[in-house]
Amino acid sequence: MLASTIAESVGRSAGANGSAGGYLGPGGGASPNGATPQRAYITGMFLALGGILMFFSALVSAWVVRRGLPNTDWQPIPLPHILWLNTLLLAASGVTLAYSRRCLRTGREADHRYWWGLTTILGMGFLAGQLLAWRQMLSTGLFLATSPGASFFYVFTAAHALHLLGGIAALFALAVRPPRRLTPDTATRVVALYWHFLTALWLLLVAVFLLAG
Amino acid sequence: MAVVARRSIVVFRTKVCFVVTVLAMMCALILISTAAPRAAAQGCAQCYQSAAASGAAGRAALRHGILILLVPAISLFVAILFFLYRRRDSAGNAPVSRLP
Repeated sequence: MLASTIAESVGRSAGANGSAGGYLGPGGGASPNGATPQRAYITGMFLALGGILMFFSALVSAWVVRRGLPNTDWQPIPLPHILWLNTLLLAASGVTLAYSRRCLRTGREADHRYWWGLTTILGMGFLAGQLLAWRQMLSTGLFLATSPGASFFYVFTAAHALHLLGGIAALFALAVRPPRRLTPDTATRVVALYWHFLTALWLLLVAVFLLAG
Repeated sequence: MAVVARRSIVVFRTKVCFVVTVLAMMCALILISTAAPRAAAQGCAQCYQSAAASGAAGRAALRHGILILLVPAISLFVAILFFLYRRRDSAGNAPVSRLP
């Protein structure tokens, strides 16, 4: 239902764009003037990802040091079971996003819109699942200040969820209104880079929690 | 003949510039690393004592934490250098293939 709504909004924005080829444009995803891909936006996204990577590296580093210090009140926390479902949802959203971009490149506009909307829904499902995970943690008596491990868990998941919220906003923005300066190919590529990075980052965080939690 | 010679000169200059840049960076790294022991003596006394008092496990945890911070930073540095080298001719300098 929501996927079709988003797909329709993409279609409306494509019509508003005025191009004969719809959202894809006359070049089917290529740059309008036939130039090379807009590298500046890709480079900018890579720089942003570098900053995010360093931010989470600092968090993991603090977590490792805090956990390794002797004679502290560190207690391992049980991970909520719904975290597995959330991980599955996020991984699935990465697959649907990749397929959506593939549809864009091959000129299948309707399929692109459908899979793009499905990616948005899966992302929102992940965020809802994270809220449920927090509720499960709270119901077992693990609050933010209960133990350092619980505090780190909340900080990690909240920071990741905030970043993912930005990704969902970008997915929505592209669905509602095509960007003015970016070609569809560049815009979807930038968003896909961000999304896949956050997916990989989440898998890494889960692995860290599992192996050394 | 002259065109080939000119291309060779440009290629040679590009390679020399890259090698000089890499050598300069290596020299800077060596200088920094040799200065590190002296810099260690200027560390915060409270941090030093706190780290020393944390025992072997605490020091190991600190080392791991430093490594976790170091690896992505170095990776980003190397990646940026790599992309700079790959696109060294994209701004201003004409590619060798376009030379007359």
